[in-house]
Amino acid sequence: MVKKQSQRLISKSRDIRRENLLSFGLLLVIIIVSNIISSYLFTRIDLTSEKRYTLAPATKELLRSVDDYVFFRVYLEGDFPAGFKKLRRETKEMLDEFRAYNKLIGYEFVNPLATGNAREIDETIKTLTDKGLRPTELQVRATDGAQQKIIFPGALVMYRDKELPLDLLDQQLNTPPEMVINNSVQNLEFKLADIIRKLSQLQKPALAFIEGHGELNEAEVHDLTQSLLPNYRVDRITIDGRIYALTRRSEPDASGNVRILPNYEAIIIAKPTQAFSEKDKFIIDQYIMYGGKVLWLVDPVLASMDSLQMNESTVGVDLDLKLDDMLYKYGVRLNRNLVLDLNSASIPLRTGQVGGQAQIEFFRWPYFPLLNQASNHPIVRNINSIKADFVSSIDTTMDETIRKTPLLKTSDYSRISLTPVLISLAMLRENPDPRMYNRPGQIAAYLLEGSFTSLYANRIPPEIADSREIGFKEESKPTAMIVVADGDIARNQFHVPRGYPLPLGFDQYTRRTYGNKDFMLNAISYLADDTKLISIRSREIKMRLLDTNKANAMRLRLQVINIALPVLLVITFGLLMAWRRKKRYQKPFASK
Amino acid sequence: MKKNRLALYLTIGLALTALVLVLTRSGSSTVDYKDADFAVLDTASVTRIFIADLDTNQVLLERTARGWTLNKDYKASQWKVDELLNTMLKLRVRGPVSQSSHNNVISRMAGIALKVEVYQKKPLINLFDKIKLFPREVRTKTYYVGDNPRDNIGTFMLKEGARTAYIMYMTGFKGFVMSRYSAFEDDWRDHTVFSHKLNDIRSVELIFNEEPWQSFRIERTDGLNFKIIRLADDKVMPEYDTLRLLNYLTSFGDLRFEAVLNNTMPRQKIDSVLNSPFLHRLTLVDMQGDTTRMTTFNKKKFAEHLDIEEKLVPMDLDRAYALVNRERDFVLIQYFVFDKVLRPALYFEPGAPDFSNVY
Repeated sequence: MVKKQSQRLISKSRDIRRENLLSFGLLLVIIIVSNIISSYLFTRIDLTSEKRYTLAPATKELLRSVDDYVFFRVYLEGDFPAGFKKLRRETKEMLDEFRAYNKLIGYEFVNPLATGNAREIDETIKTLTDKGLRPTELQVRATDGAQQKIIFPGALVMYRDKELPLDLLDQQLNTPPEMVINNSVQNLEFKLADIIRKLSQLQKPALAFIEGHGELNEAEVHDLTQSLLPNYRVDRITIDGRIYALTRRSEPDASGNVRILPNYEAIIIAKPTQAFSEKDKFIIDQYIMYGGKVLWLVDPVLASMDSLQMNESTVGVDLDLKLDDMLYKYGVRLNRNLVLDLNSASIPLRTGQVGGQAQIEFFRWPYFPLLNQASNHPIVRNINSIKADFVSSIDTTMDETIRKTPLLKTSDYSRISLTPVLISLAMLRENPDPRMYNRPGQIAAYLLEGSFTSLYANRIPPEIADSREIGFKEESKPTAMIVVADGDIARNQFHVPRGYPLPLGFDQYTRRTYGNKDFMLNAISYLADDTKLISIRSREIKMRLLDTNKANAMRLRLQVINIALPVLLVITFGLLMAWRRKKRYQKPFASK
Repeated sequence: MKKNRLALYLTIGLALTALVLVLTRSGSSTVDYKDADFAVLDTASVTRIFIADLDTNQVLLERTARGWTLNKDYKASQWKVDELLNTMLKLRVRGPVSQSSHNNVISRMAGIALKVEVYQKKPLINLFDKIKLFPREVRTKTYYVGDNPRDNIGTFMLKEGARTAYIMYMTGFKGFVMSRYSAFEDDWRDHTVFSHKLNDIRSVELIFNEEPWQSFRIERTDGLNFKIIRLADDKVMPEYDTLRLLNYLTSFGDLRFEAVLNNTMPRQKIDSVLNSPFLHRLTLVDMQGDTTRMTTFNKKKFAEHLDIEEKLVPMDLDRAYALVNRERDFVLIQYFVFDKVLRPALYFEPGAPDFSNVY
């Protein structure tokens, strides 16, 4: 009887064990299958503090307006280092996010160099570079040592019969690779949305460089113009007192009213050196009143390195462009001074001659301050330092109807020299005294937004003010302008000795690339584009990198916590459970 | 068990969902490959390719044990077929045809597109590409090939029954792929006239119509021994230059014509040429007894050409017409290619001058 009972108990115990095993097995399968399914289903809750996975309203609006297929052929498929895998994953997720708003957005990730013989691979590389994609060379660890690998971290984006290249990886000098990847990820939404905007816009916005007052010539803004041309129509115009130079008049309607519209989304006044006539000022003023935007790049002080080529010193003097009253009316005053900054770009100087060879050394030149962002505005967010040449400071007026956002400022080690300024290379012979640099953060660029009052309000005779053809307007539509107290930030250098124009922001002597081009493109984009996509650039995605020193110091503790502790916890839990079960079931069985 | 039943149902449900997702979605693409699956990744399994246009032109390329055949009648050009298969292998999606131009593209395709059918040998049962059972021929793809987008990169293609046309391009190739598809039989013809190795040749006979005394026949006596018989008097040449003979016979390894003229030249003109006296008649008999014959005819020159003595040369000195392939095909040949097998009998005589620049 006891034996029978014992057998029954053993059999029951086996059943329970089998059932538990089955439960465990099923649970395991459920977990695995759920993971497989989750990798295919696109859904997420954005719990990040910076809302990195939530699209900006401007992007959503743009996506809703897309009316035809936009197809991204992304060349980020293959065996990459972790950073590029992250860029790939983030790109895919961002495109999936885009697709959630518009199914016409499509993509395919391809490895362009996966198949084919050497000739075909060469042809593919040539085709992709011809189309404007930049290859990146990687060192990849293989079983037989390090290998060089070329990848194209970019995409070709097609919309109707247009195709544009898109670089997904930012090019940033002197920046750690992880930071470059992170910055690239940070800019993904802007980049993807911007390329869609560029492709789908039916008409390019028009821009004009103003000429006729000694502004930078075509060659001096060559790189900027070339960078603008894919997205804008760029003209160069001389106002020359013509009333129709910047605005156009519609045919009179039934009641005889004439509509006046700006000819250009924005105009650029780049480093004028001659005074503006009242007529030209009036035409620019009225262009602004009718909603036109202006990028002022104005030097209030005449100073140039050219004068220092032959002499050791020169003098910076006031440059009277007759624009002071105009800019003051709009809300800013360009000060007649030069800002010196210890955080500055270097210039090459000949310090001697050894064996017939000139000895060249680089010196920080305080008159070339490196400007940094003065606010969190998207125009200047996360851009490299901007190299300025003889920059002045800007003050603002008390006019509260105009919103004034500082964009660029000098460093905390700045000082001001009032005109006339003696500029002498002799100052490089001595170490600068930091105590003299006591005027920190001088603002060198402002964004002005709002409804501006005309410089000519209450100042012109009634025959002009009442003329229908002229259509004088005292108060502007809501518009914007950017004032920079340095004209040279838009000027590219020329190769010495060949003379061809170099990329804007590239200093051929120090071989550094500054953020001048990014600033100019962002500023123009902000002024000329309707979509305000640039606001996306202001988002910051924090990079949570390990503190390598701290990690190394705490290596053992971290290893123990991460590896041994979970195992110990599981074992402890198991022992506790076993002890509890033993305590619970042993007694009744023993009593029988 | 009751407790586990729910878990079991859940597992089955999840497994089915996962299976559907795995089978229907590609992780790195949003392209609907039901509509864009033009590429043939296993070209070795292709058995037949059918291409047709709207003008009743059609070609059927079939893989046989002896190579590819064309319309069950001719040998297909191997490199052309290889090129087509290579194109099919490397076809990739450049993007869907835009909605704004889709109707136009489809309308144009209705007028000019080529229909392509691909047949492959596929196993009835295929387990993870490891176990393949019961192979049989199935039509795997049917699609239409249209013209090219404005930038000439890629070609419009539409799968049968699909709603969206795609621009397909070929990796490693900058250009359009439409030209790789053709429904003209002549485009797929193998241009080989002679493809015989020395050991395969039993006899060669060359008749010169205008200079019959230069006609000869080479016959294999045994092994690598040959005799040359002058056809003018039917006598065996007592001595010949062995090196030149071997050189001559090995020249039959790969001789091809330039173009088929059957369908491109007016019939009257072909008849006129065929009724004129021929230039050469070259007959090769192989060791199996099969005969290959080529008859050549003079080709008039389009432009007037004067020789060194400023006399008018009425004939084309670079090309000639020829009748090949059991006298079914009227083709264009180049003397540059065929000169080496159109030598006169004199060429084989010891110490005779080299005639390579004469004939």
